[in-house]
Amino acid sequence: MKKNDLIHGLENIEIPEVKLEHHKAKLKQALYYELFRKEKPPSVLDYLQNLAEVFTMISKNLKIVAPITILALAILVYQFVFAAPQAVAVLTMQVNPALKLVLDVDNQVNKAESLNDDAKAILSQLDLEGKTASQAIQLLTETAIAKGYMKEDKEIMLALHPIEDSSGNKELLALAPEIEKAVMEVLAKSSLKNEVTSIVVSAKLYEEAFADGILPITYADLIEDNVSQETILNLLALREQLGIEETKFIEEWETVSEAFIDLMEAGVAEQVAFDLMKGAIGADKTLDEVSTIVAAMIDLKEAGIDPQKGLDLLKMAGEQGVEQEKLLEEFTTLVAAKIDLVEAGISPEAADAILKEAIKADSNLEEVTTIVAAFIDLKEDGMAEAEALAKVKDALKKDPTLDTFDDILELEEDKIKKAKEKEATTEVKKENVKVEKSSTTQEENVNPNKTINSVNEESSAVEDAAAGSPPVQEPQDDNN
Amino acid sequence: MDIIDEKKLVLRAQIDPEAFGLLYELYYDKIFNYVLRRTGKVEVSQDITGETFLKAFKKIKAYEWKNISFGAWLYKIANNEIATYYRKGQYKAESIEALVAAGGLQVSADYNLEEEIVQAEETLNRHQEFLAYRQKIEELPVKYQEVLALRYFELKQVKEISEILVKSEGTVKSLLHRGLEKLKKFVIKPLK
Repeated sequence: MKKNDLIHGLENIEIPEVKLEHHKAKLKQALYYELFRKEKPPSVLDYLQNLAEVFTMISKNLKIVAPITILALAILVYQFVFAAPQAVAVLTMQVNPALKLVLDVDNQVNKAESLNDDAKAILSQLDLEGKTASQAIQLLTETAIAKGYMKEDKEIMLALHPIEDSSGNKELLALAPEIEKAVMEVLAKSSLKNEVTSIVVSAKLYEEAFADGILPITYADLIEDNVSQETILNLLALREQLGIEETKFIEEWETVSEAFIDLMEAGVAEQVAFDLMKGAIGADKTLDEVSTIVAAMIDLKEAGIDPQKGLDLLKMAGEQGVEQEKLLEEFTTLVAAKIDLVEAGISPEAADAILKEAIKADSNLEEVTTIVAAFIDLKEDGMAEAEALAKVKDALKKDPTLDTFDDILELEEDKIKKAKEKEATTEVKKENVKVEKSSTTQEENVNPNKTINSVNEESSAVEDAAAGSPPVQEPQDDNN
Repeated sequence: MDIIDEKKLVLRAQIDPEAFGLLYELYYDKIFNYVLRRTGKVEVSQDITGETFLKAFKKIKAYEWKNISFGAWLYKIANNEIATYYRKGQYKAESIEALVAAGGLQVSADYNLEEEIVQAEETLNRHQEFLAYRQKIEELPVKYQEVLALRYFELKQVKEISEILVKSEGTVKSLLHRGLEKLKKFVIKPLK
C-alpha cells in the first residue's frame, strides 16, 4: 500500500458518531452537584471559627506583639511630630485607566497623576490628596466600577516602587497586601471577582521601563515568576542593543516576557534563558516570530537537546540561502526534523549533514521532513549513516523536483531488504553445509538421503522466516 | 460559537457554574466521541469523559485564556486520561462514581443507561472499516495515535492539533508524517 493510498483511505472512512443523552444528563447532574457544593458560601460558624483562631494566635504571641506595637507607635509619634511629609513612594494602578499616586512616608497621597485619558476622566472627579493609599485606591476602584471599566476579565495591577532605591522596599512590601485587600473589598461589594495583583519593583526598573513606554502590568508576570529585576532590565536593554524599532518593541514586549516565562517554566536557567531570548530576538528583529522560535527551543529542551542548537539551525539555514521570512515561518519544521533525527539515534554530525542537504535541496523547506524521514528510514533499515546520506544525496540528485523522491528511496529500501534476505539465506546454507559435512564424517552408516532431506527442510523453513511468511508444513513423504 | 464568545463564556464559567454547564453542553458530544474513537470502548469512554469534565471544572479557575479554544484544553485533558488508560490497561472513574453516590443521583433509570451503551456499541460495530483502521492505529506508540486520531478521526487542522498537544506545528507535521509511515510499514503492510 502506498502512503497516498493510506491517507486517502483514512480521509474517506465513515466516522462513527454516538449520542448518549442519558449518560450526558447523569454526568451533568453529578458535576452540578460538585459545582454548587463548591460554590457554597462560608457559614457564620466558619467565620466565628476563623475569628477565634486569630484571637488565639494574638494572645499566644502577646509577648512579641506588644513590644512591636509600642515601637511602631513610637515611630509613628516621632514621624507625626517631627517629620515633614515628603514623597517616598509611588503607587501605580492599571486597569484600563492607568494612574499613579505619589505617597508620603505615612502612605498618604501627595499627588495623583493620570497616565492615560481614561484616568484623566476619573481623577477629575476625585480629590485624593491627604487620603491614605488604601482609601484612595478604594475611591478609584469605586469610580472605575461606576464608569464601567471593571469588565470581568480585567486584571487590576497595583505596582509600588520607592522614589529612590536606597530607601529600600520593606515598607512597600508591607503596604502591597493592604492595598490589594482594599481593592478586593470594593470589588466584593459589587460581586466582582477581578484578579488583583500587587507587586513591588525597584525605582530603576520602573523608571527605565517607563522611559520605554512600558508599564508594570506588562512585566508583573515576570516578577511573579521570580525573574530577577536585573534580568528584566537586561531584557529591556535589548531594544537598544539589538536595534529594535521602539514602537514594535513596546507592542511586542508582552510577547517577549511571556516567551521568557515559557523558557523558565521549561526549566531553563535564568541566565541561559536570557541568552536564548537575546538570540531569538536577534534572529527576528520584527519580533513577529519570537514566540515561535522560543517554543521550538523549548521543544528541543524537552527532547533533551540543547536549545541553543535551535539558534545554530537558524544560522545554518540562513547560510544555505533560505529566505528570512520563510526560515522563520518553517523554523518549527526544521526543529521537529532535528528532534526526529536525535530521537532516531542519529549522530549529531550526521543529523547536521542531512539537515544541511535537505535545506540545500529544498530552500522552501516544505519537504525537509520528507527528506529527513527517508534518511531515518534507511538508517533504521540497517544502513550506515554515511551510506544512507549518500543514497539520499543521490536520490536528490536524480530527482531535484522531489516528485518521485519517496519512490526512489522506497526502491532502495526494498533492495536493502532483499539483500538482507539473501544474506540470511546464504548464512543458513553455509551452516547446513557445515552440518552435512560433520554428519557425513561422524555418521557414515546413516542413510545419506534422510540427512540431506531434513537439512533442506530446515533451510526452507529459515528462508520462509526470512521472507516474512510462516514456514509451510509439507506433507510427509512415506517413502523416506 | 466564535472564539470571542467562547472566551466570554469561559471567563464567566470561572465564577458561575451555570456557564460551565453551557460549556459542558457544547463539548460533551465532541469529547465523548473523541475518547470513543480512541479507545473503542463505550463504558471506558463514559468514565474518561466524566473525569475530563470534572478535572476541567476543578481547574477552570486557574485556566488562562491564551487564544486557544476551551475545546483544545478539554481535548488535552482527555488525552492525558486516555494515556493513563493505555498505561494502566484499565480505567476507573472513582471520583465521578463518588460524586454520583454522594449526590444520591438517579437521573435516568439504569435500564436506559444500559440500553444506551448497547446502542452505542451497535453504532460502533456498524463502522467496520473505521474499526479496522482504529485497531491498527492503536498498535502504534501513543504519540502517533494522538496525532493520527485528531487529524483523521476528529478532522482537526495541524494548528488545532498543535494547540491540543502543546507541540509546535512542525512537530505535529513530523509526527503525522512518521505516524503514517509507521502505520504503512509496521501495521498495514505485514497483514497484506
